[in-house]
Amino acid sequence: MLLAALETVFTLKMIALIFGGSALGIIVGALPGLSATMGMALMLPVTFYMPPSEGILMLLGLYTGAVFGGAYSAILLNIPGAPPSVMTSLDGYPMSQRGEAGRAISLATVGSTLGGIAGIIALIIIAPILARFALRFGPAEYTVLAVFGLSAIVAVSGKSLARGFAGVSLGVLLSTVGMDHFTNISRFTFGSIELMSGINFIPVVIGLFGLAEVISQILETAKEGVIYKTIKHLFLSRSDFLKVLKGFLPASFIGIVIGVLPGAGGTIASIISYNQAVQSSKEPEKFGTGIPEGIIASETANNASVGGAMVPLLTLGVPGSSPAAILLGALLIHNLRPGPILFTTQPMLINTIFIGLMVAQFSLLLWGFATAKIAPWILAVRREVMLPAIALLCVVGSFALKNSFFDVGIMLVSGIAGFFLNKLGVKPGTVILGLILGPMFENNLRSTIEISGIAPVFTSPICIVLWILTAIMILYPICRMLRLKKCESE
Amino acid sequence: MLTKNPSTLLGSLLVLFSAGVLYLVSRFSEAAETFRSLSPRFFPEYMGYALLLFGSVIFLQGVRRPRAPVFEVRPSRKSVLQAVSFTMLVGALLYFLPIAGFVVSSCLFMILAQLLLEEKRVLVNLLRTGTFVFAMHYLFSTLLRVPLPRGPWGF
Repeated sequence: MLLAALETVFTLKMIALIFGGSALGIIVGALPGLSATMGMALMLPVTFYMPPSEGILMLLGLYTGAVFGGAYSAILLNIPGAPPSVMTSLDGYPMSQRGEAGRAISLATVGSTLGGIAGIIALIIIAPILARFALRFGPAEYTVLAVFGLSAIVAVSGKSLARGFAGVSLGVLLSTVGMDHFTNISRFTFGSIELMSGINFIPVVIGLFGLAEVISQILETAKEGVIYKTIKHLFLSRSDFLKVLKGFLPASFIGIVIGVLPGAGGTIASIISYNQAVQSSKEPEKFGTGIPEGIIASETANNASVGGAMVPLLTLGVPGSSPAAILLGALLIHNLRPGPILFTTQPMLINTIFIGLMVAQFSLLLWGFATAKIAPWILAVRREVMLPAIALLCVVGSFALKNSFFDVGIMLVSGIAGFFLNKLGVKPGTVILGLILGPMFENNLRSTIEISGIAPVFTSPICIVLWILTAIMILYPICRMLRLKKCESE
Repeated sequence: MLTKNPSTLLGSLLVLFSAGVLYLVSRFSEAAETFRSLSPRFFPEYMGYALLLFGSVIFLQGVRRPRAPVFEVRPSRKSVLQAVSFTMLVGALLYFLPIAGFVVSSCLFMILAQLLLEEKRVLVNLLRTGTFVFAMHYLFSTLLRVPLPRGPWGF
């Protein structure tokens, strides 16, 4: 099976798709305002017309590239191109100001590649084990898993738990639109035939992450940083390489663990990794002045989280990050339901994904050094052309899914609503993951009650463990907030 | 008010929205009520109550502890008008797509959108529009075989 998967991936077309996706992802990630989720949401309709393995691998290449690509603008402009690169700018930009932009980019490239490889190795080891374990999951376990997934999203959704819960509730509510699966009763359809099949989450994703961001960018004055156009000394010195080797293990571990948590993703991973590097350093005061350890911690963790995010997605059908949610959409479009059954019915696809992800990391290494010199020119793309182009892509992408203007309307409404929700503090990721996990929660809960009543939800051993984890996810940020307040008052 | 207290605004909106949801849920058909142990209105109703609860909590949080304003720097009137006009332009694109077809609608959209975002170089605008629309049309229509809307002119 592995050999067959290798033969599938190592064809000219597949390699071109992975490398092409990765290059596109780097461009998307490099441009401030665009994100991995947005890029993947825009490309998702394109993959609809491809065979599943090709579409998935292209999206994985894009995901990997976009997470890394944010480092370019973080280092050159002091503006994180993608949210996971927010900590990279703290040390990357001062390094580029000293004329060491090439060094910073090299550190980010090698750190990202090694972190990505570590994440995929963890995925290859953990996923089959977890998938076999997940075969014991029944409707009760999936119910509590959905609750755990939703609470995890809330816990990492920012400072306000109430806003996180509100976003998730909104998403779950949106998932109830359409015909009820159990009774065929119409819910919130207003007599519309299109709404009877429910709200397709892909136009909602495109609207929330694509159009909403375009509107936001038009409103906010664009930051204009000085772009350092001279990129020299791209290859790492021996001492820098040793620093990468020293720093990548703890950062990778953090990235993998955080990536596994539903809704967490690369941004949280890079922040926690950076903080860990500061606390464990003998010279913490040097962080923020342009030292390699800062870039290594951030970039390694955010790329390691890619592999981590794939673990719950492939084994349980619960996305570990917003981009993973798009991948879930890609799998569903091709009638592939992720979960333990996928490992038994589609082992070839699983192996193809593992190998394709590994190839994507090496494509990062290639593109990272190859595009470093032209990065300043990529960043100089003007918003007068970028924003209309993205908006047009949002419209066409939403239409292409089902040749439906109604979906474009959903995208437009989601974009406007998403802009306001974002400004008022409700993260779009919470709404999307509520929209995706809502049906899992409702359908499995109703199945459980139909089959054996509500008791298994609270008595099954797996459910008990998941409830404990859920409680930790909800209580931990509350305790942390109370502790911070206590420190502030002292 | 937007720049003063987003929590009270968000809380009020959520409370009103949840009231609407609960009203709509009350009008769901009751045909399946006696046949199933968990009614189809169970989840929408509880999500409505959840939104009511969290909306109230957010509103009270806003009253007790006003958050930082929505915009750190208040957007200029010009950028607000640009954003609103751009959104209306997207709506107009949606409206004219089935009528005028993809090529014409998209070209007009790109030209007008760039003008709106202050691209003053007309020739550059037209060249970019032509290139991008052609590329999109080729990608979706030819490579991916998506039947893009055609206008009365056949394209």
